[in-house]
Amino acid sequence: MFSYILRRLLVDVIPAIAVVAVVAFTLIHLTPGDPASVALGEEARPEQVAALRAQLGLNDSLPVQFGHWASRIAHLDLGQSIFRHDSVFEGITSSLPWTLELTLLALTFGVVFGVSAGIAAALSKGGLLDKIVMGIAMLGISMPSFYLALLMSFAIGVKLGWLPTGGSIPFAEDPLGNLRSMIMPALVLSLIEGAFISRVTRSSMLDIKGLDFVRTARAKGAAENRVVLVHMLRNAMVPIVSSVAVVASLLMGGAIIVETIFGIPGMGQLVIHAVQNRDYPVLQGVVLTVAGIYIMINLAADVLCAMVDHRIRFN
Amino acid sequence: MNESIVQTPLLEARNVKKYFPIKRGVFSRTVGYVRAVVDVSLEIRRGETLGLVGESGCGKSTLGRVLLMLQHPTAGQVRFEGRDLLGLRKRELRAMRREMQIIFQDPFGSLDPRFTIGDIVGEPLIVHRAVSGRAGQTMDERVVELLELVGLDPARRYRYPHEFSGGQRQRVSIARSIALNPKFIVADEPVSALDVSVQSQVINLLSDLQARLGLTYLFIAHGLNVVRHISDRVGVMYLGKLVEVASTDALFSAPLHPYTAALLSAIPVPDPHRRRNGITLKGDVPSPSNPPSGCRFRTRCLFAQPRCADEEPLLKTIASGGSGREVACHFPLS
Amino acid sequence: MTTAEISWEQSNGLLRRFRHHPTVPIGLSILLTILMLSVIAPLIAPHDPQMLNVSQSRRSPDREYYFGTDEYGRDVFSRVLYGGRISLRVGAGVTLLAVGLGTLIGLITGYFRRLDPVVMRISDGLMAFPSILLALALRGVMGPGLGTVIVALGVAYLPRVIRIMRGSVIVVRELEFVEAAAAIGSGAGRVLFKHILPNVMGLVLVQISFIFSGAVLGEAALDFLGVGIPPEIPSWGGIVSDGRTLMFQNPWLTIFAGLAIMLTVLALNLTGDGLRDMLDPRLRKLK
Repeated sequence: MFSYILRRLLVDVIPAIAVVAVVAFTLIHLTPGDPASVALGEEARPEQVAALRAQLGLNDSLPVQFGHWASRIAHLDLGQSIFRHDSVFEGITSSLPWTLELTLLALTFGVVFGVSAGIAAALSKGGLLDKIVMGIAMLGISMPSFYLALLMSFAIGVKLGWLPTGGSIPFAEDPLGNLRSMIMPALVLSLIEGAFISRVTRSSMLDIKGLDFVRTARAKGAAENRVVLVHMLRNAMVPIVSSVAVVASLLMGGAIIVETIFGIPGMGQLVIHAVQNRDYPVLQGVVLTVAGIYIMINLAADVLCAMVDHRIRFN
Repeated sequence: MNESIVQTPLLEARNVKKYFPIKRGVFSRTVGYVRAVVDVSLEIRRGETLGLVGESGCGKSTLGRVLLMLQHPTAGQVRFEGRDLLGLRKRELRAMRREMQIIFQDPFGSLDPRFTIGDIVGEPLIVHRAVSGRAGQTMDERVVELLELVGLDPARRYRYPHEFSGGQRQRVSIARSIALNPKFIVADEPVSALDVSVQSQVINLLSDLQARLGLTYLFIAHGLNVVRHISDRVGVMYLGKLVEVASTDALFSAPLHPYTAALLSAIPVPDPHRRRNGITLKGDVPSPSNPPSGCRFRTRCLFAQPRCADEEPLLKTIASGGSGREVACHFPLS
Repeated sequence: MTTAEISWEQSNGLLRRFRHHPTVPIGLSILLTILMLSVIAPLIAPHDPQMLNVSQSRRSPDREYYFGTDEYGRDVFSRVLYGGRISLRVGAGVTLLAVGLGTLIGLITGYFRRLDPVVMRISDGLMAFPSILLALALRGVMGPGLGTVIVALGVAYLPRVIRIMRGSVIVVRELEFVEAAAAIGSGAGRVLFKHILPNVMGLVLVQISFIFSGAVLGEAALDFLGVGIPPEIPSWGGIVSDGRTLMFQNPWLTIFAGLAIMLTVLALNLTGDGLRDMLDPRLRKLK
């Protein structure tokens, strides 16, 4: 197991982090023209531009810039926001908890909906329930998340008035109010991700349904519930867990959109303001953070799969 | 075979080795090798058929591919008409493919499902920009001729492989292999995947073509009975080594290597009254990544002696029964 | 046999296969309709989609304005029609970039093993960015514009295509007919483009459907967030965004554009799902 994790770290994680760092660093240089004058706009005075160039370290050669930048990043110094009055690190630490809470809630909902709907569909393959579940899942993956968010906040928030249509109540001040305000955004996110999970669950359950060991379990007289939950689901778990990486990607992408609609001050808001204002340090910081989280989730999913399925360790 | 054309070998292999590395661990270290072909030397004479038999995994298919340079040998020499194949550049080697061809075992996998059979048979002609039949012949005419030559209805050349039976597909494969008028063809278990009733038809086709086109074959097969009728000489492989080479008659009437004898006694005899002093193989084939010391066959040999564990028997020419034949055994049967 | 007979036979086979996977023709016909409407939009649009007419502000749907008018009195029907042009153009551009380049890279890295580890590590690294975030970031540094949106989304989806194509090439590469092609002396180019590519073409089609649908969704999301194409150009995401504050009072402002996105993406997903089910079982697992 240890050697498996070590191999994953060396072969997958470290190169991925290197690529992510290079991409994040390169971003700023993709700007047509001088990043500093573009960021400050046309009416900026030359001294301002020069000051920003110095602050962004644009005067050195590229490799030197990268060296400085990488060593700063390694010390968790993500630089100074151009437009916000705080450091990028502060911006991220104040936004990240919102996004994490939202995505974790959505992940929970989505896994519960997705896995149970997927099992139900697989068990009634070809039947009415299967068709309904797969139809909804198809709509779910075809629905733009912003549109679903608007519809739900209209129906549940405005018409029915069950839940607040958004807001930014910090958990520390009012835990219950915070949770109430997060439920609807999390539901929106989870529907799209749950649709994806249910499709994966259904197909991996169907792959396993016909295998010999399932028939053996039935033949030896195991109760149907036990066959489904113990024998089939356990083996279907590997593709489901591996798809968590895709799900994490979907969630973080979706969170950006859902946050803006429900007015949650998370990473989505941060990055969109950064895009609108060409706030390069913030863009780089967000990109690095999100990619870093993704890589860690991916590693965790791989290790989890290897624990469930011993064959994976010896690929 | 006529003695005079037997003199210069068409193909000559010297000490050919093919090892496949086994990689493991964090840095994909090479922890060992699968020794698929170990120190094999052989000659194939012009116009003859050399049969090559052995159990699955003994390296016979790998040897066939190495002789054609479809796989690069780890060590050794392969000469075709005196030219060293290992010294050729990629482009020269591709040009050499006109001379040497292969027929694969799997009649389903070896034909591209997206090509019509006419295109499959014509592809070598396109690749080598050569309609190598009679002068003034168009490609389509050549394809028709080739299909007729292998006994397929040329009218079906616009059809796809899945519309043909296994035996017919193997005929397509044969037509493709002779399209460029090669001198040498490796037939890699060409009938193993076919129904028994079709096997002899395909073997007969191969002998006909050999007679008409002056082909030389390396005919690889699983068991001895398949190669008996088509081969002039037969080589027997065990765990990557050639253990015996002899003319077909000599090999079948008096095998020298105990392994050959065991393979022979595995051939069913259609006579219920004949008593068989059968040698039955016991145990499994050892792993080619960790072969036994000394003689590789000793773990399964009825006649193994202490010497067999210490010293590896080399393939030596033995004057027996008039003609020279080769065997790698300290205690050959007589 | 004549050529006519052959093509009849093949198309007959295709029709027969469609009958078992009815989602493909359904999806394709919806797409074709949307494509046609977008192409002839200038001919059938009753109004100039950008013309402001404050006197006609927020009219509900009627015979003059089929989908009503927005806050500035612009005809929503014409705007939705024209929006389709943007969505399809971005979708096509992104697909061309991501699937075209991705297939090429996937073919080459899958076939030449030496390049493989490097390209895979790079595309693994790129996969770490959620595509919408990568697109946002690229769009952020490159500035607004249709071209930037296409490049941003195309680059964002590229690593996924590379992965899938590479995986399928590795499967096909081991098949015997590829060795057979090398044995008759075909060069790498011929083996790749005449033998391997046609055999993974089904998967390329599946990728086209899914990347196209992702691109339509992604473009709409960027426009909705106000960081896509310039806001004055009508686009589905932009229309929903414009009408969002009034979506409760005047539902026609957003509902038609929202439905248009959904219908397009649904049609693409139906096509992709069906095509995937029709695929060679050896490649089906690769998604």
